[in-house]
Amino acid sequence: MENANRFELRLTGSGGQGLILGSIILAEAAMMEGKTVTQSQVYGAEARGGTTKAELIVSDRHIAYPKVTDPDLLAAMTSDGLQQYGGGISRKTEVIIDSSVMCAPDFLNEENCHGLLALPIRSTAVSRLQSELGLNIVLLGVIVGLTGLVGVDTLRKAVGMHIRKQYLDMNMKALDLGMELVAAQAETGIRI
Amino acid sequence: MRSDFLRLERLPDIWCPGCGNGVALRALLEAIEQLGLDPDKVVLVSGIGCSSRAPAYTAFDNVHTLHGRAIPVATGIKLANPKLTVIVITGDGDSSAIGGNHLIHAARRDVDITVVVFNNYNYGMTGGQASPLTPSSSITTTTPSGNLDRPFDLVNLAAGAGATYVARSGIYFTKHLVDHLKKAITHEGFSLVDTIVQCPTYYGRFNKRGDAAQMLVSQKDWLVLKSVAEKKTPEQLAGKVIIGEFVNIGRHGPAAASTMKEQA
Amino acid sequence: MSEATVLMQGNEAVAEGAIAAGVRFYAGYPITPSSEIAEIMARRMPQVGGTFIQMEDEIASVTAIIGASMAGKKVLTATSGPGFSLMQEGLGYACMVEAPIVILDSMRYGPSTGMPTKVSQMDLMQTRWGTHGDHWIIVLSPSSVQESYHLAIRAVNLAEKYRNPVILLSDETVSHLREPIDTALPEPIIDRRLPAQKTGYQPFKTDATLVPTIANLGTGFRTTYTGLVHGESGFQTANGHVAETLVQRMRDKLFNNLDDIIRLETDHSDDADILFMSFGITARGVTEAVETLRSRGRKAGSLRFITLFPFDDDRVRQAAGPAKTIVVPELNSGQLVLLLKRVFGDTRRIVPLNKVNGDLISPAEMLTFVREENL
Repeated sequence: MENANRFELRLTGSGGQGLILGSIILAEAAMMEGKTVTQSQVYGAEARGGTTKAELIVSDRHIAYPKVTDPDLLAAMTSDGLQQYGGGISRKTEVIIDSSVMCAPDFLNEENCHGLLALPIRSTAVSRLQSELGLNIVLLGVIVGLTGLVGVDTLRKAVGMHIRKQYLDMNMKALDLGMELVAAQAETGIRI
Repeated sequence: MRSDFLRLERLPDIWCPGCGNGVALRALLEAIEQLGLDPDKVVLVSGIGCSSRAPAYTAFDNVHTLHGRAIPVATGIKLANPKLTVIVITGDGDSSAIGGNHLIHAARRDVDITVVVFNNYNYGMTGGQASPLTPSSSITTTTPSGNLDRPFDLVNLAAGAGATYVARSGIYFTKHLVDHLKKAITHEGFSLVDTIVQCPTYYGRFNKRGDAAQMLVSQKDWLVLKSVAEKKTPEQLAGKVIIGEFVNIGRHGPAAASTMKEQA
Repeated sequence: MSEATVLMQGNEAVAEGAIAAGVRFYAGYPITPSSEIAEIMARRMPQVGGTFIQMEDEIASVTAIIGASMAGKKVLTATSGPGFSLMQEGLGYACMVEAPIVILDSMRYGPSTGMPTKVSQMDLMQTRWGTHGDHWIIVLSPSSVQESYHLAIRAVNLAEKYRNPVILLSDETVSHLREPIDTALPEPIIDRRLPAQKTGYQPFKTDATLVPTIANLGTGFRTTYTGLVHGESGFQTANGHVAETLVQRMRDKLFNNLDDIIRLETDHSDDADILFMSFGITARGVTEAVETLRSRGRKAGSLRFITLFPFDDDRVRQAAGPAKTIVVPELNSGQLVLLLKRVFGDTRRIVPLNKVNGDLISPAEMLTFVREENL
């Protein structure tokens, strides 16, 4: 249903990348700002090490149907993820892909999505944080930098609720890196 | 034995003339009396079968459950109220066939309950079919040409599964039986007493074991005290069943039932 | 949003709701998609002075909670279709001994092992008729995380109040969904009625409520239980009159209290010409479909079964309003629709909308169905 206050988000990649946790953190940040949310994910053997999917809906009002049907944003951290869960995108969908692990797929173009943003998310995590464990938080930085879905300070608070103290600095840096990726891209203006 | 341990208004019981279950029940009630247990804190739990009718004739809290399920019900009762003395009365089929899985897991957990198996070597309630304790070659209504299967040794089964007290007795040896029931009940942890009773109506008749009295008295021939058996050769023990205490050890680790709450 | 609002998963909400209702004993066996409840209870029960035990199978799980219930605890177990099948034996026993127990069944795709991680609503009839013999079961169906919390409390309350098994019929989607929920208590906690007089105590003698008091094991009442037909004394009998009286009382103790037990939620049903009747997760799609149809000027409405059983034909007729067409979307090949066809006969057009591929029915699919079927 058309609803300007409703934002649908789908994250896909491989198990272990922390995308489900990422969607939960984003959900809690949205709740802190008075929004209502539904968060869900695929489960079971198919989610272990294989391709995974997490979904989040953020809205100002009650969310009846809890699953993503018309995503405003799709973030694919692996090409398998994009293949498996990339269906259902429309002209309103902003697509983010991790350019450090995949090329822009042929099937995405101006006709079937709102825009494609290819950012080196995994390689940024690995080179700047010396760990790919921060990938999900870099992605949150990208999402917030791109959409302003929640305030940055709120997001920092939500990250703090889930991350152990000794890793907090690294994850705050991950958020900054994600936002920087978006800012740098905006300067160059290169989009597909 | 205290007559107020029975619900006399529920008698006569359903058991056939000459059935051994009454003697086994009386031995259990003797044991409870001799131990001086608070009758308000004793719960008898049973499954389905002839033996499992016993608790309802007693004046304790009693729970007649489903076929094979007395042990998990008893586990729930004991864990919900560790102060209770929870005793399961079950039969050979109830405990070792349909309830076999529950038996080994209760033994593994060392949950602090006592399981008294009224073992008559067949399913009496349904007309004398074979159970997992029916000896090889025995005639039953489902083994008309003789039992092709080997039976469980219930003592070894319980011991192998981790029971911390295991004994076997027969109702001919009433003092021996009462003594071992007392030790089983006071034992902290999972205890099992394989209690051999006669079924003259089916097992005895089909296998030409004589009448009830002959079956009862014959226990002194084919049941051999463990202390006596230790001095005999395997040849001398052929066809005999050894009675006595087989396992009596301390409780297993911290997962034991009554320590669960403290652990919490 | 209030201070008590937190993001919670459906399974967690069931566990926390049960704890809020006073559940202090949980026995279970792992099975997708209900396993989180066992995992949460393993951690939470010791924190609240309760007991958690992982049993060897679902038969043992349900019988262990029956034992604990008899010993005075409020109890819960959780499972999914394959485990629920094993629990049917214990469920019938719980009906017969009138043990207050709550079973959560999180529906996945069946039959058999089916698709463990895929949603369905295929266990509806199993909750009602899964165990043998005439019996009555209360079945409640949550459609959100918030409602999972509320209905867990309500399930425990109803079980204790009516001495009856209560099934909380959830599904894979609600079980794994995360939503904000407010944990402020929605209703008072109900405890079982205990007997007062030890002398002349009859375990199954009742007053006008038709619900016997419960003498918890070990409290000196010397109570007695059997799955055999029994009279007021609790002792078994094969007397046909006693049996008839028992079975009728087990029915009447619930059916005399339908106002208390049955909850139906209606939305625009009073003037609807097309009415969706659904339960659980499917109702979430209905809400959006009705909203869209209304925005297009179509008089659409919804009736949602929060209580599925007992099922009262008159109440359903009354709640249905004037709608000539009733659409019944469900994630099975047609189970709720059987009941509705019986209730309405030829007086309304009853149209099943079934989906059996392991996915939800989206609002768009409902709208397409209405259009293509010319409803």
